[in-house]
Amino acid sequence: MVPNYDISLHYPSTLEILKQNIKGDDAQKKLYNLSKIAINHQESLKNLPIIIARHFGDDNLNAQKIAKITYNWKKMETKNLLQFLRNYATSKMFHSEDRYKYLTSIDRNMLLLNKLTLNNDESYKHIYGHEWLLGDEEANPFRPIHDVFGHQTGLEASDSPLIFEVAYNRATKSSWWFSSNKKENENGDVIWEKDWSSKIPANGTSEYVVKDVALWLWEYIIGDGWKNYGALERAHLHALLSAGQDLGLFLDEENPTKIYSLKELQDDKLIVDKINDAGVAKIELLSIDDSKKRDANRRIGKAIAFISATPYIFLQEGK
Amino acid sequence: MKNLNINRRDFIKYSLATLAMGTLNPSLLYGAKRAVTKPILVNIVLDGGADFRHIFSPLWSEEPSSYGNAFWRARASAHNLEKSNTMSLAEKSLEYSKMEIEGTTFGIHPKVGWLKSEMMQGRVALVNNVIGSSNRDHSHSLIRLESGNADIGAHDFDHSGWGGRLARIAGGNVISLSRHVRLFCNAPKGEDWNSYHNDIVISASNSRSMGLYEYDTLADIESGKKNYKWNESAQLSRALSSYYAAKKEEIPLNSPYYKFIQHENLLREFGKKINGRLANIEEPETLKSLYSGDSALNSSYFGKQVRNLYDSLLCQDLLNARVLSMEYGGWDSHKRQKESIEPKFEDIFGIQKGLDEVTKLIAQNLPEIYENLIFVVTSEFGRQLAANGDNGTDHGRGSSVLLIGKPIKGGIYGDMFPNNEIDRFDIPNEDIHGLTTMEQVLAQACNKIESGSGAKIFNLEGSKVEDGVELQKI
Repeated sequence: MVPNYDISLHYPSTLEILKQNIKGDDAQKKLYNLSKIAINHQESLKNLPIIIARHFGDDNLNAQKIAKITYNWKKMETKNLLQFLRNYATSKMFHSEDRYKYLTSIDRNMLLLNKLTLNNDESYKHIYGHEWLLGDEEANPFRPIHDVFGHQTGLEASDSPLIFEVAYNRATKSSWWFSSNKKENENGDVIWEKDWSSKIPANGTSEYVVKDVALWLWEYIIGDGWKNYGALERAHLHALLSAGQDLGLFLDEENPTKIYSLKELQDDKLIVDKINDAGVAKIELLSIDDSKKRDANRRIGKAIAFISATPYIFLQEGK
Repeated sequence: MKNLNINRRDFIKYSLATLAMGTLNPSLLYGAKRAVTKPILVNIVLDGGADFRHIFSPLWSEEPSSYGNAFWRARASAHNLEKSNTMSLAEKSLEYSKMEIEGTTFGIHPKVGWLKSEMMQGRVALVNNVIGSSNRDHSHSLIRLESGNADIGAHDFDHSGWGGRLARIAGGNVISLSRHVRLFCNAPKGEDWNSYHNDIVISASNSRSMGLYEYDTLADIESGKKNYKWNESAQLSRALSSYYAAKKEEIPLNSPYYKFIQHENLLREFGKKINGRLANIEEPETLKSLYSGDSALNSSYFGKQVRNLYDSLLCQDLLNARVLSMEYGGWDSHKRQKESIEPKFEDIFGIQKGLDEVTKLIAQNLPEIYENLIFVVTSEFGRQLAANGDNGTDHGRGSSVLLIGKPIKGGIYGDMFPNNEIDRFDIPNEDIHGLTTMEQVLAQACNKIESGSGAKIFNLEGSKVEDGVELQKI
């Protein structure tokens, strides 16, 4: 759509910009003509592809990568953003382990919101109110923090203790956001119930086994091919999914605040056995008993809350 | 960083004790606990390229070949005036308070009354003709300003900042008072300036509510309650607290994930302490009114940072701050400059506004800190000499820097109104000639905080200082 605007005050004659005479009866035509020259200006050739690559894909650019990206942009005879992005997205540079991209508040919250919302009914019923999510992180979509020079970058988000604090406190103090499992109207009638069984695949015997669900949830949210899914993550998720309890309470009711190190979780046979046993427990997502089913859905929500505050939610790695 | 964790019982005892001691006089409350106060630097970055010439102006002169005449004519439209209306230019000039410092006569804008008062008391060094970045690009110029590295590239966002380097050398911490941690705060990873490791950067973006949620399981157990078993927030609080405690032993320092371990660690440690300290100290009404109610500043956000500053200094014995970071954005005054930047200058420097109110409180309640506190006010570049056709000014290069505080030897450092500008006011795109390199000025500020640190924090090779200017006197 071409916006309709008043051009009566636009300067109609030629303007000298970048040492070139730029023609055009109005600003739009001049911008169009200027863009053909500006795109090949040395500053643009040097900086534009790096801005694009950094914005979309890589917070770990080094001199070698920068040289390669710049070279590929320069050699493109007709500059085509989509083609450049396609080439970059399918390149070895993009799919390498030393690439990583920190998520902005908008990236991360959109990801979680989309993963939690399972169908249109949930969207329609506004189950996961999202208006406050970005405001809490000082990242309102139409109020860029750098004014006309752009919004929060992934690197800025990663350096912000405030954003970490909000994400952490949402997963703990406000964990209901992840785990709510039903909604009633003013008459007390249930108008919505969470049903994770509609999304999570059951096993061959139509059962939901903790260890499988834990793995599936990790990949569903983090999507790192389980690269960062270790014994610590596994133990905590098994506890939350099998008993609906935190690991400390699950392992020792008398000492719920005890911290379990990775070594203990790997080497202490009693603990290892208990975590393994928890892994083969069933989650009653298909129970005909409403309260068991709701409890099972709540456990899924708790597990997602936990995952949403791990370091791995803030970063996307190349692979 | 030294671990100063306190347990819950100590926290309760401590809170009760502070309550018993009273909430009205923080200096009595904490003076005894505080070690000898060392100099502290508060950096305020004005994003967008602030026009300091809007608040420091020459007096109007009828003499056509004079600086005052050329200046006011060239900049008339930035004050919504016609350059041909000499009467209105003269009247505008008279609105400025006349000052004379070391033989330089100038006018200071009526909305920056606190700044004027500080200047009169010799506590402001106004350094003129300062040049940082010369490319007029906001983003690159800000990186240069905050990194203090003249050779920095346009995309080097992951660089250390000069504030972080100063704090590292001074053996203290950086307290970030803005929403997000600015590049200025980034502490170098060892000797490597090109990367950072923010183990000494503490965020106090909301000093009255900071830290990670922590359910008090032990209190439940002691009182025989069972809530901790079924309460979902309690479960997740324990789960994540335990997870991070174990995880921090597993993630290496050079991992891109390490910074989240660091956030967790610092927020847990300092959140608890600061919340404990401030729980029984009411916010002073004069600060609260800076960000709420009818008399709030134009930028309540800046008002909150001022409150965060005061609260952080109340916790100085806990925080060991040597550097604090603030920001005020929106100075890119291409259009309607008068309406755009005068309220901002007033927010910061006006009577009963941001710095006025907070320094009064600091002087009264934290006198040792007041004696050692320096504010540094910078922007990424200055504006062009003449106003544009939109009642604003466009990107320039040379600018001014303000250093304010009791340890500062006030004065005018650098020609405030260079005569070479008289003939250039009518030439398009001309700006203030940069005669003193930004890093030279910042190095002096650093030296005030930690003797001899300036030369370690900045590479001053190839930098310059305006003829006749003795920055070391600051």
